[in-house]
Amino acid sequence: MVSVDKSPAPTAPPIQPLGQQTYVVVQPPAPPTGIPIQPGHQVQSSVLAGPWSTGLCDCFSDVSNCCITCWCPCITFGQIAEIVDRGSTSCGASGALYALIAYITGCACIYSCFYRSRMRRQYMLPEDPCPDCLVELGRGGDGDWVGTAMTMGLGAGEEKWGKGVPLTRRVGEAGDEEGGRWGAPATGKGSSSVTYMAATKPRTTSFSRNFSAVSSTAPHAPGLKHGPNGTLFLSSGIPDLDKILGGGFALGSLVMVMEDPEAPHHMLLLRNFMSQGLIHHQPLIYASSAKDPRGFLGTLPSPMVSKDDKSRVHETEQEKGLRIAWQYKKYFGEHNSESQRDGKSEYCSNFDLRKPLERHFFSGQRIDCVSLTESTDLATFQEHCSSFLSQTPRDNGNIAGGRIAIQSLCSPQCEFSNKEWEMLSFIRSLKSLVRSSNAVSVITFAPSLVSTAFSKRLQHLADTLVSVKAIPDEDKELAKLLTGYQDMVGLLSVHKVARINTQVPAILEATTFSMKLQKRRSLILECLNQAPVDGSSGASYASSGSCSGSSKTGALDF
Amino acid sequence: MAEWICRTLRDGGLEGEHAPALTINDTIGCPLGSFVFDHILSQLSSFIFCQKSQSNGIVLVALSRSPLYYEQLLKSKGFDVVTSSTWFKILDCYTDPLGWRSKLVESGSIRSLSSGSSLTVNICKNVKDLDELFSSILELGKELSGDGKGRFTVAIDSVSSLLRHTSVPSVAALLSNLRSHDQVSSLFWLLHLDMHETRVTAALEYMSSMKATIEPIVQSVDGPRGNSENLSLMEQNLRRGKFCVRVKRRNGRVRMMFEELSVEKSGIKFTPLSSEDEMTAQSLVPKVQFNLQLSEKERNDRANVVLPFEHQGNGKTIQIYDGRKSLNDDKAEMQHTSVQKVDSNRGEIIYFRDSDDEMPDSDEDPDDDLDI
Repeated sequence: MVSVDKSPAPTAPPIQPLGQQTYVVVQPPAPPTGIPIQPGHQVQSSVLAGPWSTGLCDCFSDVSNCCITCWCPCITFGQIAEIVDRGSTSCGASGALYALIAYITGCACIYSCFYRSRMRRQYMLPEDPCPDCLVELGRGGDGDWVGTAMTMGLGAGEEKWGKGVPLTRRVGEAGDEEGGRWGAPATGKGSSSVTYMAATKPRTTSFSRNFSAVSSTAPHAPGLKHGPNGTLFLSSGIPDLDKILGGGFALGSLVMVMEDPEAPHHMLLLRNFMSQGLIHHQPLIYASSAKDPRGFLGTLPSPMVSKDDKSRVHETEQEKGLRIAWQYKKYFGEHNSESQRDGKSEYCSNFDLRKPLERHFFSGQRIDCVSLTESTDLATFQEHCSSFLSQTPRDNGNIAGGRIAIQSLCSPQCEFSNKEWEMLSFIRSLKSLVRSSNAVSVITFAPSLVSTAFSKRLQHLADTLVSVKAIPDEDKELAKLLTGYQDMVGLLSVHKVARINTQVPAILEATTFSMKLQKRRSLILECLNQAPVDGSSGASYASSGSCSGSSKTGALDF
Repeated sequence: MAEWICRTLRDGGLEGEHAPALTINDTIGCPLGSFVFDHILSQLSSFIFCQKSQSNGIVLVALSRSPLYYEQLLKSKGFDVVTSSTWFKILDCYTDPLGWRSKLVESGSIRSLSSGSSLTVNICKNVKDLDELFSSILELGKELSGDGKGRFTVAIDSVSSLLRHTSVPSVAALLSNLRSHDQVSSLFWLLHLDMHETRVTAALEYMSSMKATIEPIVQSVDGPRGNSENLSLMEQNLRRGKFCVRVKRRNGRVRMMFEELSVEKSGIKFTPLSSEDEMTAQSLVPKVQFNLQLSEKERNDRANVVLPFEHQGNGKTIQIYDGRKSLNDDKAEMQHTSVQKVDSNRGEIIYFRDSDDEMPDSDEDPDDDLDI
């Protein structure tokens, strides 16, 4: 998942001064070899004032450096000079200078002595075993000193540094979806020499994450949940749908539900959505084409009491002889759902569709009901929405998350149902409104009522696109194809999942789910358990039967 | 199933629920929609007359046929016209839908404005104003029951005619208002599919809870060409048709029913369909490529495969040496050390047994002895 950046990144400006010294980034002297620097490993082992990796007299512990120094000291000297001068003099220049001095005076030790003391001061090396100059003279001024310095671990091979806190990290961790700002500059280079004259700060890792203010504290509102890439989710009211969508509806997204004119399943989705909002005290607007939309509020379901919410009855079929386990997948997920149920009870409740929501949830709430047939165009409704959402109290970091539920936007009773461009522009402005005010809007429409071009446009406008479909009643063929057909009320397909702040698409295991009413009470979504049929005309590659990636009707295929 | 539909309309809707609404669709290929409409109307009338239904009466909005026609229809079904006005009201939008005739009457060009029907009719002079139409329907409905609270059925003769005068949103609004009104127990209308765009028909189907479509049984291949075959086909289609009903049930499922209808002198008849032509359910679920069952052809092919060691049965008894001396073999002619098996069609397999210690049944089909 992590790809290593093989090209040198541009120099990063110093972001945070640590101590008195700033970070200095030095251009790599050689083309990068593609080996990432991972000083973190070494850093973790030797922290703070750890000893240098080699002592003064351990000349031969680093053989390569030693060889270079012996035969061609100017190179090594140049590199040291560059390091010590922090890039102000280039390696080549100082190397050449050294060679020149050595040639002319025969005693370049003076020059190197100067650098030695500078280096010692910089790195706070003890003057041991003898003062600088003596060491210089003693060494004859040739490359031994330089070799010593190299064996001390300075030079091109910064891997051997034991001190300082180099904060290089691999560039290209693009796949890392855990956003947040990094506390240190990310300067990953091939084999660059990055020098960090960091003051010794106690750190166990090489980088730290700075959480943004919002995400550092958990959202106080119980109805919101953190998601990847810094998004917040609010629940759709249906636990299974939340799981399928990866957490729920992202704040700021537009959810569109494509209805089937022959089935009222979109009302189920809307009811759960609205009830969940009322339970979490999130402001709600509901619009429909009925004369009295308030009446719909009476059909909202109430959350199930925990003692009723027993674990799902796993109807394991009696094993009559050997059965081929093409339905094996349905036995997997149920183990996980048990453990997650407790933690999630606040965020998303299971709703009992037979019990209406209690009155006290309606009082003191910001609920607006609008009838779409009141006015001939959508402008008034748009005004209404924007004023409603702007009144949402926004404390510092405490986002409530508003909900807009529009039922059957294109229903033929509305005067504007002919004016498709108007509806389109309304939805576009609603989308921007919702994005800026951190709300979620669920709109249902029947694609057969608008022309195909507009239906496609509406589908493209959606961040999350879901469609519901009716199933024929008492259909023997379907009963043979699907197990659990008796309990099914419809089919739900997920066509698009909202991805905010990321370019990575969500690829779902399955896009078609069966909607069932468990004990006639709560809505559950299940993967289709299909009997194997001759799918020679099908396009998708073989999946072992339980779920398939293709959606059923070609027109809705994305 | 026409009976089923009539019963559903008779039973009406539950409290607080939208009234069931039926749309009867027909096409030019099989224009039997009006017959079906009449049939349903008469069925409901009989239910109402016997007071077996939820509704007290019928309000008929006559747009494409004159009230006289309905009067005669009732007569033909055996209802007394005079007394039927207590439970059968007609809103006449046929005589003067746009108010032109009344203008002529005012100007004195024609004498009177009457439909010639003795049924009490209200004449609607402005079909374009659907709110007024709605209120007139409700008024008539109130008259049907004594206290004005009873429920009634509404029949609209042809919504296509209504759509000629007004826009789709207003018609849809009218229908939805009727459906959601407390006093309307059920509602049905006739629609000619060819006269409208698909969006319009989709909108009207959206408003309905049951959809009955009359399709030709045999589709004519060449269209309106006047072949003798085609003509006879077309003539057939004028008398017979396929009656398909899609019902939206409360649990969200769709029920489909098929019947064959034929129109005769005596009336209309519905018979169960001879050949079932149901929608394949496979279009609903995603395709899966994993087949465990064998098709017929595959089974036949499997049966035809000749297995190499299988005795094909060529009529001769085959003596099989199984490697040990059995009592029978003692009396048998010879004891071979080799066993020959002959495939009827293939070559010979000459098998030399390795040793006598082998299990006797290891290389032979024990059923060979049976020589079936």
